[in-house]
Amino acid sequence: MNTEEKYQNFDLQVMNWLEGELSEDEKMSLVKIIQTDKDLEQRFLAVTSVDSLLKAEFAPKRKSSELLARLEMSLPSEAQKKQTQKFILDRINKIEERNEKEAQRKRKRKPTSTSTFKNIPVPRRTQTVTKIKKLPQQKKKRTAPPIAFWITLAACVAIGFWGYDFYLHNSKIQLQPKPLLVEFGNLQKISGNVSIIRNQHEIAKTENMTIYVGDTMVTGEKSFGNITIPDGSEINVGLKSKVSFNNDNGSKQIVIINGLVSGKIAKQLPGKPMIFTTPNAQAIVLGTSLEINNNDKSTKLSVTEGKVRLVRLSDGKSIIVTSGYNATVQEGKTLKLEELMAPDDPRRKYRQPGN
Amino acid sequence: MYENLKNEAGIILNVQDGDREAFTELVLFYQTKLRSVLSFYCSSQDMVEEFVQDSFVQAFVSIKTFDPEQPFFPWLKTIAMNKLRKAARYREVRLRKADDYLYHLQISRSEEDPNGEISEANGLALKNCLAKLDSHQVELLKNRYMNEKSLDDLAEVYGKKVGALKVQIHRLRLILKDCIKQQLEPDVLT
Repeated sequence: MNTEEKYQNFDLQVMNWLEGELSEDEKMSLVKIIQTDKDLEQRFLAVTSVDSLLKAEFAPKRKSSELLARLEMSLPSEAQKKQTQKFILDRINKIEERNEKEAQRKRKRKPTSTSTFKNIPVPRRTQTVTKIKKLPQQKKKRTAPPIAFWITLAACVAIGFWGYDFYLHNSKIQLQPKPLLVEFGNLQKISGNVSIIRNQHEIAKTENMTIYVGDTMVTGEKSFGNITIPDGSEINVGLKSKVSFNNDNGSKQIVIINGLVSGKIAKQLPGKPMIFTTPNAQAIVLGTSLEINNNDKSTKLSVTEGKVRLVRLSDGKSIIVTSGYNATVQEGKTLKLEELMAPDDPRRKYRQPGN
Repeated sequence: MYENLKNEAGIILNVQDGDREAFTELVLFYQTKLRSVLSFYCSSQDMVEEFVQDSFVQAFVSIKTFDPEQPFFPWLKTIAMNKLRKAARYREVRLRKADDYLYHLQISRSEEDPNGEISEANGLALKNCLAKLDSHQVELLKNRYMNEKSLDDLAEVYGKKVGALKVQIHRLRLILKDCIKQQLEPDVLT
């Protein structure tokens, strides 16, 4: 439908509305059109205004007489005004009379003397008694509150303290942010007595469970755990070990508190090496196969593939341990490379994890 | 603009003294003008008459507060426009039928015209536009609006079909609408 047709159809509806020939449904249709189209709304208003103005312009004179007649009925006449005035005055008088009666009744009720006997005339002298100077009032003797008062007060104070403490405790809980769990790896395989400590609580461990940053793994006698990391690395935690897993700005940190850790480390991102930390040494790994054995006094790093920088934390001295060599950090012992023993070498002091 | 009533101040003083006949003079003189102002916002003539009547009654009741030195019609018009705007707000929440909406749509324009200036400008423009029409066109409109002849009667007088006559009258409305718009431009008050 083009604009001209739209206007023609609309004008037809408006014309019929002005002539009073639209049904209720048709009127509703007209309303809907007007509501949806501002342009047509303006057209409707303009056309209907012209119609109204024409009616006003050609208004028949008889309307004057009609209006005057109607006004005559509507305008308040003098008689009506007087009647209204009289009505209002009557109302005011009635209200004043009622108030006066009420006041009189109150005055009657008010005792005129100290006598309780209404019928006996009050002697003159008695009335003067009221004029006698008032004696100074005796001060009330202070008495100690009853024991129930003190018990109630103590209970209230105790409840108040308890409530405050409860509030503080709860608010602390609410204020502490829930620790954000960042995945470190996956516990693929466990054997023997292995436990996972998370937020200082030992949690049930299952194979394929997720190890999060901050978790600590503790292994017992003849036990080991195998963890895979999403980057493809694999870490074995040997017997009698305690290892925690951390992440420092994308650099994975494995803290060997004690025990044996070995692993095959996938190539790490530049500047984000995997760091094995013991109390006295640090092995910085970019991608290799290694084994770290830490006891109370020494840390021994064995590298079977790639290169690892071993740092002695006491003085910061470091050594690069290459494939086929090992190095030990021990107090009083020089940091130097030693040839790695073959797996079947009888000098090997520790067992391979899982064996 | 409109002329004021001669000796208006004296008439108003008489009305203030309770002379109802004097008030009739005011009504006779100003009713058409007031009706014209109100008609712009209300196509229902019954509603217009109600507003005119209410406005005059209100003026009569409050005439003692009016300063006779001031022109009467602007004061009367303000009363009427206030009544119109009050009705627009009142009706806003009582729209039950399509007619209610359409009348409300017209009345609610009064919110933008508290002094009825747009209405008066349209009224004057209409007078000018009527002067531009042919005599037979004006005669048709007079027959329709002044003599309030039905379309059937007019069809008989003019020897035309009712539909054709209805369309002819509507076309005259459209011509006047465009003429008024042209007259009021560039203010574009319509």
